[in-house]
Amino acid sequence: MPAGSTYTPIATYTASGTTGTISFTSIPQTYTDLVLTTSAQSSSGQRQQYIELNADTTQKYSRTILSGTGSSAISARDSNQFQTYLDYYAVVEGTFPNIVTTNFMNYSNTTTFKTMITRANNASNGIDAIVHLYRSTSAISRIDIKLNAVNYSAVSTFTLYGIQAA
Amino acid sequence: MIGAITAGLFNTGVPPVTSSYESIATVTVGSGEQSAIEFTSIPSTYSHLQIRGIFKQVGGDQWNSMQLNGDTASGSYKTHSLYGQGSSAVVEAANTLFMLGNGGQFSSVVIDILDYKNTNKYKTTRALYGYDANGSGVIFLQSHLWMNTNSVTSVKLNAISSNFQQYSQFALYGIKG
Repeated sequence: MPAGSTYTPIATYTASGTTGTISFTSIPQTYTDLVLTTSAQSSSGQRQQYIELNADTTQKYSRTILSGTGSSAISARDSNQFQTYLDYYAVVEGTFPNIVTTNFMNYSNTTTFKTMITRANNASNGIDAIVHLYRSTSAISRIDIKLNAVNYSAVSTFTLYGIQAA
Repeated sequence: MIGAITAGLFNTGVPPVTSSYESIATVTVGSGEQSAIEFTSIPSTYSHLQIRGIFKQVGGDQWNSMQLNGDTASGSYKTHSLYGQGSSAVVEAANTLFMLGNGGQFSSVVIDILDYKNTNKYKTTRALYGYDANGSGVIFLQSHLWMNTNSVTSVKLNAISSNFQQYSQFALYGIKG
């Protein structure tokens, strides 16, 4: 028998226009996976969006990237980073919303490193699929989403969902 | 695949009613490893299915296969892949449903099986999965075709050359619509 309702909104934020950081704190450890969705625009120009987990800014992050630019498909990699970016070509900009979905699988597991997968979409710039690694066995209890150098515009929204497996 | 999952907004004091995305079954691999993960007797009460999971295998890159309804007949499946290896994007086509795992780090996977019970058409699935190992890794976008009009009642993930390791976990969800 199915366990019932399983896809639960944990929190949502609408940007004020005065900050480039959105924080989900005290994330409940009662779910199996987390899903972060963002629909963001910047206050100025094209900017990349990144996350820090558990306020950890040490070099524990890495990622493998697949991108479509509109003229070619490319792949790239970042290693030993202080944060992990949610986009590569599908960056946040001031005119068209950038839509990102990131899946945090087994985020509360304290035995394994954390592998996450992202889809980032911006029709005017590109489309990205990214797999991230956070080399920590700590459960994820905090996610900070940040925009490089500028604020999020006030039309930007961010929602964190929890998914509970049977 | 969020869909219309709330009858009330959680930040307005109205409790959300999340009734359209349901957990059907979960398989977690213990210390004994497993050569296959199978979901059987899948209810026909949903519109779509989603499999979410993490998995790890021994050794380097390992290929795995996926079967629907136990169908192992040659020519039943097609797969198209677009994947990134960190230095180049690669396209590939195959006549099986496959999925790549790794022994170094856990891969994450989301597989959508849309309209799984429709008996008037073949079944198309899509997958997003990959692993990163801080200097290596791969990210896959895949579409799969099962050339059979039967309703999907079982899904089996086979570890071909290396078992699924402890802490690997796959969960099956049903989505109503």
